[in-house]
Amino acid sequence: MLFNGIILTCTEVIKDTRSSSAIYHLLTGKKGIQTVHDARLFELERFYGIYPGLDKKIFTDRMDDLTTEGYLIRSKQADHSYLLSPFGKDWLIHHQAGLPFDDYNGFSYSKMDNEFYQGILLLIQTYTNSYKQHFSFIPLIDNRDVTQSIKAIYRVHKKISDAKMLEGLYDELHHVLRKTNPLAAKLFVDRLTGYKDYGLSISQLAIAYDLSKEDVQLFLVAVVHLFITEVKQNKLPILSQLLQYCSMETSFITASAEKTNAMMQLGMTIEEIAERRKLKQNTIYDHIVEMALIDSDFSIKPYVSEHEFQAIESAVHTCKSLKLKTIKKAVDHQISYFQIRLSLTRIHLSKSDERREVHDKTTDFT
Amino acid sequence: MTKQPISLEAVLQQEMGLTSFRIGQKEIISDILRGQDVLGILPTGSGKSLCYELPARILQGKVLVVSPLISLMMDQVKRLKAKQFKAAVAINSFMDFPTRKAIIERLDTYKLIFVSPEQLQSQSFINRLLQINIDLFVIDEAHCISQWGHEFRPDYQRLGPIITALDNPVVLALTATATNYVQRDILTSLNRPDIQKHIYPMDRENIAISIQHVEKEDDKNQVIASYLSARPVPTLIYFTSRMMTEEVASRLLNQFPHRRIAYYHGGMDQVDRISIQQQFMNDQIDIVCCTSAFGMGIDKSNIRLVIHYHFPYQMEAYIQEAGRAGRDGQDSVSLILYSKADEILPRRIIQQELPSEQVVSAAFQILKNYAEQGISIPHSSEEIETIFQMNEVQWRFFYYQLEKHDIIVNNAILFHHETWTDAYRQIQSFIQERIQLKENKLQSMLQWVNETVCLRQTLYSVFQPTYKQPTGQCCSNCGFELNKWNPSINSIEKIFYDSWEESLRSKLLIGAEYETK
Repeated sequence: MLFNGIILTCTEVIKDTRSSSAIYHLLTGKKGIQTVHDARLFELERFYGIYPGLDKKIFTDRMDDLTTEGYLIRSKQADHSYLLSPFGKDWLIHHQAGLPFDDYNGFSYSKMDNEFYQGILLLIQTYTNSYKQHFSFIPLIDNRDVTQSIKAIYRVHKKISDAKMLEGLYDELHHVLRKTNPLAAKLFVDRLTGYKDYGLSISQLAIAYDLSKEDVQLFLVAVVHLFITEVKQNKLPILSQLLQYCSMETSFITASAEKTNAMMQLGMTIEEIAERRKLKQNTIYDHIVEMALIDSDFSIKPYVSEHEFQAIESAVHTCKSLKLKTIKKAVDHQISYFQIRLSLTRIHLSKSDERREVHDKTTDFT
Repeated sequence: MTKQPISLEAVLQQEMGLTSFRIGQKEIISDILRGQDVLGILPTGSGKSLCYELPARILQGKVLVVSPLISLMMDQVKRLKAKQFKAAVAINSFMDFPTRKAIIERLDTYKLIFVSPEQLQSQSFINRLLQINIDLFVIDEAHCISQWGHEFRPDYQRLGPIITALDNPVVLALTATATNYVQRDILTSLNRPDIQKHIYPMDRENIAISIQHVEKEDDKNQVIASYLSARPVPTLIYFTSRMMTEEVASRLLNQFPHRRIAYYHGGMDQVDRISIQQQFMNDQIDIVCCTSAFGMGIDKSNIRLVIHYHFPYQMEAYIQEAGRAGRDGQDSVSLILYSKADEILPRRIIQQELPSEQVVSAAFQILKNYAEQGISIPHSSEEIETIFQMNEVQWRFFYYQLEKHDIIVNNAILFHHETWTDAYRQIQSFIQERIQLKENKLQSMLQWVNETVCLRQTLYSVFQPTYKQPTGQCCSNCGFELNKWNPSINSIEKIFYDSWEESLRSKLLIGAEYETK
């Protein structure tokens, strides 16, 4: 249900401008520029990297099922591309309110969410066992970074009783869980491990709540993301500490792009940087596009004039396409692929476009 | 037997919080502490590891344990740490280099060091061990030394010279199963003819053995259903395929919605694996559909029923898995479901464990070219796999054979036409022998499964002269009946909470009475 909802939401905006792999890469959080670019362009940043372990076959099977069941329609224009059917659209309208789409913030959180979640699990296992004076429990988590953070937190709070800590944890968990989807809250709580009370596995949860394993996974990630948001906004003392340990390094930029960036700050031109670093100019262009994607304050003006930008923007609208080749054909031949790619990082599909899309669809289906 | 200055029982109580030794443990530990080499054959689940865990807390120097399975070592270290013994560490080739280097540098801070046999092939590692004084050299799963054992590991055969290189510490070789032949192999390979043998019978008088022949897969499900509905007891069901564990678990859940059933295999994520394992230990679930990955390191005393949906292809493996039942001594049952079609899979597995004749022939050709052109052998397993068409297990086996025949010395290829022709023939025939051996083991398993006389007698006679009288029923050939088996059933009510809030409060022990022990 949730997995379907996410796929349908993505398809609704991406349409057949990309193959379905684009959605797969988005959900698994592929690091390539293209995927990061898509996330920005289609305003699907919240779903970026929310399911890193998703199996490709499970994904394609689900796309096939959704097509057979009439939610999706195979595009006639492009291979492996899909469009949302009116039935699918209708389903989304009726169900999206009950699904925690807004809780996701994949673009910012996908680097830390897993460690943070493991931290919560281990923190609760540790304090409940410590409270019961039971120090010979098998920890759920092996990850050294996580175990170290929990040890540090445990040490810092040595003076506070375990009972007080558990009460504190209860308040913080309760504060967040009451704001989340009720089903998601149940899944989250049932997966927790306490003293001689082991949490359910993903497949046990799937069976208990009659969900697919993918839905269970995605509901849990939604809760974890809501936790991170709440921890950042409110002063939840214990979980804030945990989050600090988990969010040390969050930059998306590649090391190589970082170097290019540093050289540009020194005032070097693209040609000079390519020469000095013995890289192709195209590689430097890639770095610039990467920086433009990650940093919304990055000015593209030195590379694209206002006039060129407008030309590209109107080509996108008239062609109703985001394909580089199509756009290139529609603009003055002096505009380069690099300029188009750079401009695409600044074009978002606005609400007015959406109306046109609905119109497009009706023509598509008749 | 001489008495220790302080009684071993006192040390056991003080160090491990245990009040008494299990069979064989005290005798073996006493011998070790007197500096006597020991070969210990103790049945599965009898607490073999205590035989070196306790000495590790008593001896001045370090205890080194050679263990064939990385997952097993890691599990063991984890359990030791849970038991507040922090001076244990496992070193293996899966660790990243900086971590391994850091551990080796502070090796002297540990008391109990687990290593894979491959790790001991490194001269620099041996040199490091020489600096830190090894008092006891333990060989876990020692049957791996023997080519005739059920799990031959070439690197185990090189342990003899390594022990000498380490200035001959006391040796403890441990295994759960070893025929006379395998025992002889162990002594010869370790060059320890005077080793003290401590052999304890492996037959389990409280486990009744039942073999049911069925026509097809679906019949198995019906038999299982009849057992589970008649006797709701802690149950393990073994499969050879991961997919089947999931399939049957979900089928059983449909059939028995109120029973607590789960599956377990090596492909699950870590949190899930520990959850399932511990839920079972903690009586939160009753039935686990699993592969052989489940069980190592599980010490649950009240497993009443072990079902083999697929039979293992060696008696040794069967004895280990079935032996997980009834550790508390109460009457338990081992049930094997057998259909003719089950014979196909083990045959295929046997073929895959060793390189085929064609692959070996091609490999020799490649190596010859390498020698002529001065190319060295690639390191990564991916390259090996694409160039030589061998998986890691096959390659390790093959590489060892090449070293044995002086074709590879210090990772360099030496080409002599005559030695090569000879070696080629010998390696090929050795592979055939190995396959034959495994085929024979499978054959004896099949023969036993189809036996018409007492199963207990025919199972144990291979390993030991006699066996104990069963406490309950004997076996299906001696008239086993399900209704005559009446295990105690202490089913725990599943607790349902009205809301997640209530459930969260209970998990976090909010409002719970503080209990001191």
